[in-house]
Amino acid sequence: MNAMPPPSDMRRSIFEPPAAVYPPRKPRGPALRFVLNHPNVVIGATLLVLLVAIAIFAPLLTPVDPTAIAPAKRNRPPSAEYWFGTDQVGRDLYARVLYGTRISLLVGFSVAIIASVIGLAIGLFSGFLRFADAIVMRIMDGLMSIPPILLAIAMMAFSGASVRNVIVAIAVAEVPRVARLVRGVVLTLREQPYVDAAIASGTRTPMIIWRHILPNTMAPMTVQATYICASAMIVEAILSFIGAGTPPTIPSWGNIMAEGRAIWEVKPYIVLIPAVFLSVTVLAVNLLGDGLRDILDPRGAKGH
Amino acid sequence: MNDMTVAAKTPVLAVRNLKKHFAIPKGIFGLASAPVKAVDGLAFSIQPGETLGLVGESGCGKSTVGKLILRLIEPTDGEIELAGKRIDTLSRSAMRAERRGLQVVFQDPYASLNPRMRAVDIVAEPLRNFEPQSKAEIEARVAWLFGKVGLRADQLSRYPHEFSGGQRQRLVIARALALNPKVIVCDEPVSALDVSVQAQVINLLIDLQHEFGMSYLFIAHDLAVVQHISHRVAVMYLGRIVEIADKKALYASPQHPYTEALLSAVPVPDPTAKSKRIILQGDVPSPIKPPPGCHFHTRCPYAEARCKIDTPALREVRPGHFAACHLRG
Repeated sequence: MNAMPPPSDMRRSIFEPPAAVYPPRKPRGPALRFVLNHPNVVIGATLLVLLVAIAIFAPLLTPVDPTAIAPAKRNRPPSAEYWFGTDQVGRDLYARVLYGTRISLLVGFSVAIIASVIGLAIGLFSGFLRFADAIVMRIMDGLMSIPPILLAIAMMAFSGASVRNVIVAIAVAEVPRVARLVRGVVLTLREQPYVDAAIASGTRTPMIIWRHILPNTMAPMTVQATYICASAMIVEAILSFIGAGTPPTIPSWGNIMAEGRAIWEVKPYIVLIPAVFLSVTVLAVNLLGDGLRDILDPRGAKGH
Repeated sequence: MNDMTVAAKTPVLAVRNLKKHFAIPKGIFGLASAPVKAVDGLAFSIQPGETLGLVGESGCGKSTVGKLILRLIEPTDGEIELAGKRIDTLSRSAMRAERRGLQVVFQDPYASLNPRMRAVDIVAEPLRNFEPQSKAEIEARVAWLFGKVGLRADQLSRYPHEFSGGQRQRLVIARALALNPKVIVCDEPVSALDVSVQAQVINLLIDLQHEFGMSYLFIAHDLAVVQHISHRVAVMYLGRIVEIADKKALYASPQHPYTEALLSAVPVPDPTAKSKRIILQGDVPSPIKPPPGCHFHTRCPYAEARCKIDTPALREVRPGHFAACHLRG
């Protein structure tokens, strides 16, 4: 700078630092900002969309029937013809793993929805009617004291192997967890001044539940539902693995692993491939759940 | 307010012998219980258009009084009358009809508003409960209420987190005003706000009272705020009223030693003023085991032998000035 800058410029320079120190930020679109702020959600959701697509379009991705037996082509290693190889009775592992996606996702999503709806109803009931609370919650405690897998095995022993029974058995084991969560949230919410204000405004109890309680339980419920979904997929695989779950006629990841167990030492990929698929699916659901928890927490980004 | 005119009218809110004892379970089976006497035999009345300030330190039971009057919790004993009609004995559904006349403003403007409802729906909630009107009529009414409390019509569809603390409290006031109630219970309505915003909200409450003529039960711990807004003031200590009087009389010549000590603690904005502050000894006794006789005798600088035995009744020591102290009147 050659000459003294006029006083007004001097004053401005205090408030406007030179451009070199603070380069102008590139404007970011809302979509890109969301991806950068919530990588968990984006990765989890992308993987999950991919898996759902696999489940839906399995017949388009492989023309092979996953249950077709070909004794002449038993125990083939992965090749151009059999991408994931074949099993002990010559069934195409690639086709079986793709179709297995259907069972895992079906069980995961169904259990998450059923357990959430029933648990929500029980939790609301228990949180609002104090006389019922003690009884209902002791029953829930009783159910929770049984490990969910044992409870599911016991229920499968009574009902027989079918996908529907697997869903029911796992859902029953998961309901108490949701009920407890919802009850806790309801007990906190009903002490909120806005609920007292609504009562003082003459709002009737059903409307208070619908308008003030239910919407505020949705965030923790959604997060819990993703964890239940992930847990249900694992339990389904375990049940199928020990032969107490999905019937062997239907390809599921648990079944495939169970059948590959006998020749694990010579053909490890028969167990490993469905195991990787299961792990990735569970990871995707958990990532989505973690990300949703951060987004739905009102104390997060909004900061009030 | 003139005493003669006060005596002629029916009080809009009257409370007699109001008690609330909370049971605290003891032992493993929760069988034996020692009650906490949060509110222990309260009596006062509020005239139409009057503001009664209810002051006391934390834990003295003043917020419980507000909740009892609103029937958000059930009283253990006593009578509550709203415009001459007893409401403490009403069933839930009968009470619901009376709620039109009795509204509330809570302390925390953040927790008083459902974060998932729009401002217009929050203020419209009491209207929708009692006045089956068309959507347009309700929205017009809400917009009018917004104007009355100093909010703009373009803020109608915003969510609570988009408002500042003072604006939120204006929203809460608009909701309380919606049904044109006879009484509004204000439970520490400004103690969560900045001092400059406090003044705005207090003045708004005063202006609204001039315009609509409702009464306030103004619960607070800030004596300066109470002095500004109240016509009469009641002082609570450990669940009982120790003094109740016209604002001017109470601030000018407090009759109860506790009131005296409280008032001496009010900061005076004058550096030359000599304050002779009365420092109370000890802490507030536990409400589970309140001291016998006068509750205040453990900390009272003037306590005598009989204060430890006899419970002083609230007596009229001067016209319209009641105090519960053996040593006065």
